[in-house]
Amino acid sequence: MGGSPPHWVNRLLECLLSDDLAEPLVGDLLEEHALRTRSTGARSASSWYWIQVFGSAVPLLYFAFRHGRWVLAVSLGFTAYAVAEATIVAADVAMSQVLQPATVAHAGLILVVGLTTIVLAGYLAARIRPGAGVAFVLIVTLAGAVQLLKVTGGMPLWYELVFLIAGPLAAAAGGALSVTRRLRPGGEP
Amino acid sequence: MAKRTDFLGSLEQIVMLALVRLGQNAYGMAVRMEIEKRTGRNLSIGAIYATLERLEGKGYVSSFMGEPTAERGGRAKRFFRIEAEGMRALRASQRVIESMSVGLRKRWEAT
Repeated sequence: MGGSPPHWVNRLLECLLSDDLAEPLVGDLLEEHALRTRSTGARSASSWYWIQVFGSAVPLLYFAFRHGRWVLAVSLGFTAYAVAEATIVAADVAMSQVLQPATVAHAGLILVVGLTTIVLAGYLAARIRPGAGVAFVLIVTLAGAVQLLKVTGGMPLWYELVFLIAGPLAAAAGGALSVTRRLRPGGEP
Repeated sequence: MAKRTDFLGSLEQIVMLALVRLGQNAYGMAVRMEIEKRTGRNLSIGAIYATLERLEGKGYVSSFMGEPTAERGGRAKRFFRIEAEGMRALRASQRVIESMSVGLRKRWEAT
């Protein structure tokens, strides 16, 4: 547990928090972690860091909830999902004209188009508002689970199972891409 | 008598007193460490920022971003300062505590 705090935790915090809160808060954590590493050692500083991250979650979530910031994030996440779903349905209709529906080729192509669309939608949602990217991942996960439960013979089961696992991963990849671009030196502000 | 809305919660008062003590160097980590040093309470940085944001929403404090530094992974500090309205609210809250405490010293010593 020694050494520097893991980058992914800082990125996750920056993804979940608004810009004006994320930058100073993560910077403060890193600064005090470095101070504590020098004064109390790497292991103790690392423990302090994790306690701070988990201890900060409740007050920050409560603050976001009280101030309605989650409403906008969830709305944007739903919008991104609606656009992605409409694109996938349109692609399904178009491909059904040239390929026999529910075959491996048809389902495979829809899968490629669908996952690409989800990566793009996740990227755009997180670019507009980082919290929307997180909401989008949750909505895609929920929608995949619902779709799997109500599968009635349209698409093969393997297609729904792959979508259930790869859909949220694709959405998260799009959000991570947006955060990575944002944090890159000389990247977006 | 101050308006009811002027009274601050205990954490709000503690954070604002830390801002007064720190003056120009009041940013999240410094506030957190000042409170820990003086009260022994190891508050989370999230609780500090949630309180500061709430106070800023009430117009009691304002904030501005500093320059990014290498020790913070290239991230800037966010400095906070108390506005006149915030100072009034802090004084009013302190006066309430002082008024309610008058004459209670003997009782506390007896318990």
